[in-house]
Amino acid sequence: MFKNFKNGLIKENPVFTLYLGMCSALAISTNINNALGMGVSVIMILTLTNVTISAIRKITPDEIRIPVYIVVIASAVSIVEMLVHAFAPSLYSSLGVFISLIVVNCIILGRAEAFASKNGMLKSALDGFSMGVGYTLSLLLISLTREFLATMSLTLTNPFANDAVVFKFAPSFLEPYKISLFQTATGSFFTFAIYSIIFGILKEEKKKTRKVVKRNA
Amino acid sequence: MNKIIKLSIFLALVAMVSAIFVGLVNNFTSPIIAENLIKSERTNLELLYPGADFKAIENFTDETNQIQGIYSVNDESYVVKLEGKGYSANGFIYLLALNKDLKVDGLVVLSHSETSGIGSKAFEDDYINKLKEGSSDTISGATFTSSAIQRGIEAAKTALGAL
Repeated sequence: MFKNFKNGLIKENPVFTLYLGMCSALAISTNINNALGMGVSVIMILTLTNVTISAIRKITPDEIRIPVYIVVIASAVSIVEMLVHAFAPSLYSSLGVFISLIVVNCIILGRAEAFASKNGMLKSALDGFSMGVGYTLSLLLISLTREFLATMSLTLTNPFANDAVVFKFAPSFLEPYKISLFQTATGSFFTFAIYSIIFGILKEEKKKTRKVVKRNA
Repeated sequence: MNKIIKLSIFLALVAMVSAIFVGLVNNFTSPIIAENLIKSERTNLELLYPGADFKAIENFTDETNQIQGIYSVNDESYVVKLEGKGYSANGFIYLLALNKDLKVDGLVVLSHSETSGIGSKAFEDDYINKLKEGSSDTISGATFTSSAIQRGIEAAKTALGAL
């Protein structure tokens, strides 16, 4: 079961290796607050939809399974959006339309079709959770780089407690070296490309060591 | 034909169950969301209508860029939060109360840097009582401040009229 969890983190990381969910990943990763908020929302929605779809997989007629998945996903997103609006209003206004756009985030529909429709509820929940955590970690990676390079500081606020600052790292001697390019779309693509290369190399290394082991065996 | 009916019924059932869940969460969260919109202004709104029921109005058009927010009070009167540009370049923020016939029912200034004793006369009860009677006069000697308030009343009436 731990293997399922590790899968979503590196080997099948949805953003950097499966290239799913890129649009929202690139658009909102300008600071770590947004990344955490978006990531947690996706984890909740992914786990919820995977469990639900796995629960009804035996009674869902094959011909209409995609519309059924879409109804389930859209309802889950509506629920999470309302909860975010009520309990973390500052997150709601900074993420804006991208919370609603989680409905069309390929990760959710992709995992529902590839995994949840063919596996038990517990396994699907774990898969959804790990894919969500992988997605969150990728978002955090991108946004840490972007926020730090663009503003030479890192700020984390708590959206549930009126934006109380949880920590702030802003060494003033670094301020003149900030590169504001990283707050634009161009910067987001640069960051994404570099991390994709790193993840691709990591995957290649893993494949090579396995091949060597097989030849020696 | 039979197959299509069965498929449609299944899809309809899934949609119904999902809608019930979404509706439940909506019932639970919409009062919290409405309260959040009011929370930041509540202490100020209570200066004009203590203990009343407030609701924030979101979609209003204001071409003059003076209105910062509109709140309905007990579903009949309104409070409009405005920014006026009087004598001081910093502007002043005030709340204007209007009853359901769109007549001025009260005014309270939240922050200002008008000259005290001169421009600040526009925020005192004498002038406010004249506004309640519907006067569109300005105060001679404090024309900047008082005409800013008159412009605000105009903008509020236009925006509320269009609602």
